[in-house]
Amino acid sequence: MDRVDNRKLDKYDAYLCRFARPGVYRYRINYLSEGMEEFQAGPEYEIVVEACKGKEPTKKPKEAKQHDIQVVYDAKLCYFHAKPARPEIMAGDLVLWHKPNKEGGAFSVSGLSKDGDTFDSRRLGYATVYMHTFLRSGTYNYTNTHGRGGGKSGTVEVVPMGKDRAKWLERLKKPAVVNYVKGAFTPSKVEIVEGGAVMWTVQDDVNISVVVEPTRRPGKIVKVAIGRAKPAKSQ
Amino acid sequence: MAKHLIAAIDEDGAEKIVSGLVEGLSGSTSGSKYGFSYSIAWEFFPGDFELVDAGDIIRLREWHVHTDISFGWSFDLSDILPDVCTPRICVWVPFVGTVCTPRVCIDWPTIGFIIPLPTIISEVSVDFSMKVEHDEVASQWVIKGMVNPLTLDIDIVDYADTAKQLFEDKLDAKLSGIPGIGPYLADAIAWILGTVLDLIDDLFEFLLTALSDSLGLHPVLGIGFELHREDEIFEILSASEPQPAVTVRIADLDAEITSDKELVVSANIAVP
Repeated sequence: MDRVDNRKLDKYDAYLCRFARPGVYRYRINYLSEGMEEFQAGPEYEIVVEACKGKEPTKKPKEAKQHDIQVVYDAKLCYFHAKPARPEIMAGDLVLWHKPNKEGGAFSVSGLSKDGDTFDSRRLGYATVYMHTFLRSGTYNYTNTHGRGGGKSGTVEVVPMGKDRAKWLERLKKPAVVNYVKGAFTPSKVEIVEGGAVMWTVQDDVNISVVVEPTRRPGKIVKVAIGRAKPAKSQ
Repeated sequence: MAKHLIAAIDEDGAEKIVSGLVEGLSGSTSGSKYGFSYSIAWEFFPGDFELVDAGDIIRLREWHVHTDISFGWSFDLSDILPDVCTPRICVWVPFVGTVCTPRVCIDWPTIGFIIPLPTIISEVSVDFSMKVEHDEVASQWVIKGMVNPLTLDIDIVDYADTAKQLFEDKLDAKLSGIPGIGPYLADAIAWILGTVLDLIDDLFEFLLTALSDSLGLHPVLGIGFELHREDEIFEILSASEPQPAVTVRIADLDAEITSDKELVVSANIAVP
């Protein structure tokens, strides 16, 4: 089964954020050292968001342009680089981070502007998107494990690609979009083909996560006696 | 003319010596060939044992050799599979805009597995003739058993078909579990099998030779092994202060099997 977890992005994940307000956003690409559970902060990068010229300082969503940043692992220095390192975009544009190769393990991105606007791939907020490309077929039950909205869940059904390459490519053209709105994932169940992508987006003003917990094998109940048995009461 | 020194060992005693020697032929070897790694282990198990006076024969009947073979194989699928990348797909997301997926390319892994074959159990029946030799370099007399004739048949080449079937099954299971391989699965299996199956035949030919060499078996020449070595200078009385040890020189040595089912070694001695 694929690992699906917006808190730990890897090769088949991507995180996208809409930058509605002009300003300079400083952010870091965080990495997980081997054996560590907490991310280590990586080098700092910038995104320069320019105000639009015209009546509206911010582009409407239908005018937004997507800018891709590749997260590339440097094996010698053991951290991630952002390429490009300092994109200049217009207010209302979108920035997507993704890791094209497997090397380096999981990453996250987090940053803020001077005005206090923040973003963090570990917490999906309003107008952010987490996407995952599913390679292995199966039923993926995911859950929002974050904050008060935690516990809400949904399902992704991934079907095998089959042997017909043309049919497979045709099916890939339809990624699934799941909205978190009014406290629930809508639709709660989607179906895609192996190699297809699901996008989760948030329309509520909350932070959520999308996590598929690894399946645990059923355990055995083991009874262990601790201490000595009490002596029987004498009559 | 009677010999100066005579020693005898009964059938049970002789069996213990021979069993120890034959069981000592148990062993193992490993290595790599034709792109495979391999390991072979063989173990002898005693069967019937008899001393036969006609012809001075040490007779082993229905002894068993258990041979365990396993071979390993690995292959980088990126050598034969094309680069497969998902296309960039754009979709409208409310309140965000038109969002496009990144192009994702599938990493073809290196696959590998080890295949252990079922234990091959072979039956060994061998007659050994007694033979005595003088090793002039070591100044020793050597009592040997010489194979006469060899009736050992460990034909592992027949197991090549079993190995090939196991390989096919493992390959199918391994490849079927690789994400993204669907449209390429049949071609990948056909290409790999077309290359590897013939090599498995070659591997088992090689392993048979390796096993035969390790066991020291030569179907034409037969084998001989040493039952016992005795120094030419033989101590008949150990030293006892202040007297030194008393030694003699074994001038000649005979070994035979009697009708009492004893292995008798007799020697003529001379002054050292």
